[in-house]
Amino acid sequence: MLRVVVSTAIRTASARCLSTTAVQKKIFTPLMITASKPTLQIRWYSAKAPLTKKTLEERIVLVLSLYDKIDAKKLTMDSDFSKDLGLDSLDHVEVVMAMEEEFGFEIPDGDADRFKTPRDIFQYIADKEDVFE
Amino acid sequence: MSAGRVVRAGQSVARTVAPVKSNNAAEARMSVLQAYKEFQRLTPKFWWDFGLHDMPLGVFRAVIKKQFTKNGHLTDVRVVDRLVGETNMHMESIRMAYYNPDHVRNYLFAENVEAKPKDFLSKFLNGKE
Repeated sequence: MLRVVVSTAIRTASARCLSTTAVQKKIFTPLMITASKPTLQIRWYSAKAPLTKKTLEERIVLVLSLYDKIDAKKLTMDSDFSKDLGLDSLDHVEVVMAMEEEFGFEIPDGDADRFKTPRDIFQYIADKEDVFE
Repeated sequence: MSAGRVVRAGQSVARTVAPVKSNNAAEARMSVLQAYKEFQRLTPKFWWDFGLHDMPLGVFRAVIKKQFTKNGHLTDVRVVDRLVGETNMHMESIRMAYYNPDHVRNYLFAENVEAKPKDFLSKFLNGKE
């Protein structure tokens, strides 16, 4: 919508430009140049932050280490939730809920059941959110 | 019954009963975990709406968890299904505010409720029954 308004505004402005003095033309030229270029949007409303493998891993580790039943010192990407970190199945559900909240999409129970280590969560989210590098 | 299931295989007798909802233990387990997830999602609103914020939310979550873990020893699928059904009804009642805060407190903190008198004399002295 906004783009339509802006482009019509530019068109009318440029049309007016041709009919008016050279001074006004000069004022309007920079606007026309920027409009013809592909614009770089700075603000992305309601879009998720772009993920890379590194940031994804950092965010997973952060969420897990903030969960009070997990000892942050024992936590690695390959530590088993039930064996190494001592979580029961209900805690596991809470961990998955925390991941859903962090990454903004729902993880079905059948998939969540297969998460044994943080690496599994990492792989799953990388697959779902198309994180390749 | 075709949808039946063997619940108890004794020495000579196997009883076949209709399942309540789940056909096997794995299904029952999934339904418990689902109910738990839903309950934990509900918990912050529950905690706030029922004026339970005299305790931190984390403590309250642990209280909810205890309600689930206290039935952890159950193995009969039909009993588990029944309890999951009751939990769903509790959640419905919490959402729709059919419960009062006091009822919820008594239900969740049964250990704080004064026990009913057992022997005759204390029943008499308490003026109950």
